[in-house]
Parts: sequence; C-alpha cells; structure tokens
Amino acid sequence: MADKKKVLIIDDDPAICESVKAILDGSGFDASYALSGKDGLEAFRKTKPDVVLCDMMMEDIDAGAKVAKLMKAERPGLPLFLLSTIGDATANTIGLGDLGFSGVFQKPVNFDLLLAVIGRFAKSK
Amino acid sequence: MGASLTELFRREPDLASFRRAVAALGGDFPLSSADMIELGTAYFERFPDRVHDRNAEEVRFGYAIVRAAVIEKAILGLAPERRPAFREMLEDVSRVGPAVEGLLGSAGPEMLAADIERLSAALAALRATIDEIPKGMIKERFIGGISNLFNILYVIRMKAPRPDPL
Repeated sequence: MADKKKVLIIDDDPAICESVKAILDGSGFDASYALSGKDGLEAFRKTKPDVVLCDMMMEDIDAGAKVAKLMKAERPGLPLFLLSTIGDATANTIGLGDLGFSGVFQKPVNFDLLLAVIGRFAKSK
Repeated sequence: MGASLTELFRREPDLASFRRAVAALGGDFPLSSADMIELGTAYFERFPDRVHDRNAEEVRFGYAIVRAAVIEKAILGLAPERRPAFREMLEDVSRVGPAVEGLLGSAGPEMLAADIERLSAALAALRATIDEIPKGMIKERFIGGISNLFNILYVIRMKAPRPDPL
C-alpha cells in the first residue's frame, strides 16, 4: 500500500475539520485535526504531518500566526497553509511569509486547487 | 414572507429551537445582505467577540445559525421530497454517503446530478449576497458558516457517480 501523506488540519470549527478531513481522506491523504492552536501544536509534534492547514482566528484572534511561527521554528521546511476568511487584499498586506505560511486558501476553499497544491508540496518532501 | 431570522434569534433560547423554527419556515424568510447584517448584529449583541480567550462555543453557535438559515434557502429549489436528504447531508458530512445512496435508489443518478447543480447554483448566489456585507466579524461568521456547506457539496460530488455521457 502506498504511503499516504499526512495532513494536519487546525481549526476551531469541528464541522469544517470533519468536512475537510472527508475531502482529504477521500483524495488519498491521511488527515487528522485539532480544534485549537494549542492542541494543534501538540498534534504537530506527535504526528509529524507532511502538510499543515491552519485557521487564523481560534482561541485568540491571531492564534494561527502564533502556532505557525512555532511550527516553522521547529521545522523550517514545513508546508503550512492558512485557511482563512480574510480577503485576498488583506492576505497580501499582512505578509503571510513573515508569519510562516507557505500560502493562503480563502474560504470557501477551492479544493481542486488545494489538493493540487498540497499534493505537489507533499511529493517534493 | 414569514418571521425574520433576527426575530427568531431573539425569541429562541438555544440553537436546536432556532434550527427548528427556521426549518418550519420552509425557506420563506428574507435573506438579503441587510437581513444578514441585522442577524449578525443581534448575534454579536448576545455574544460579543473578543481578541483573546475567545469562547469557541459562542463562535460555533454563530456558524451554526448561519448554516441553519443558508441550508433552508439553498435547498428551496429542490423537489420537496428530496430536501430532507440534502438538509441531512449539509448538516452533517458523515451523512453524505448513506444519503447519496438513498437518493441514487429513489431518484437515480441523473436527478441527483441535476440536484447537485441546483444546490451549487443556490450556494453561489447566497455567497454573492454574503460578499455584499462590509468587511468585519459579521461577514467572517457568514463566510465561515457557508464555507462548510461548499465543503460538503464537494464531498457530495465525490460520492455521487458521474452520469453516463449521451
């Protein structure tokens, strides 16, 4: 059996986590999720995912940025994407790279694009 | 038109009763961007947002009331006998597999494919209405709420067989 790439979803909305997990699992990934930045960091250290998808506003309004910074410090090459409700214009001005994110997917997420992008990142690892 | 969502939100004490009240309207309620802003304003009056130590339950409640409203509008264009199956799927992604199987048996793959396209168009129209809301926390709740419905629509497409080409 082919080795499935692990994706960690961090979002405080369980419904979003479940639906994103269903899409990723159904597309050949091995997805798991955490419902807060704190739990996400713990899951990141425990499961060593190939890719992380992280929301911004969780227990704090900038929890995603805090978690991203810590994860990138531990694994600088980690493909880490922001799942966000902020608009493209805002995303362009807040400096996602400086926060540690490899890119951003606006909600509602275009999953054809997301699957293609994370597939490419996971393969290049 | 029935009662406004804001009236229901102020009247109903919890999420379950709000959902029941919204579903009882059968989609007969206004849902313009002004209605969304009014509902969002009432929600934030009850649950003011915070920068730190945000209450996850209150945030999820916000997404849930958005979904309750948007689902009823989104399924309005479907045949009444198939609305419950789509409501069930849009409320809980784990129900997609069994519900799709049920719809394939009762309505067939062509009808299911047509329903999926109708649902997709209805969600896109509702998304366009949400886009009219000025940037801010009310818009965030509405985008967060409807996003999950788009995710579930994607799962429905994954599970539904493609109809045979002519």
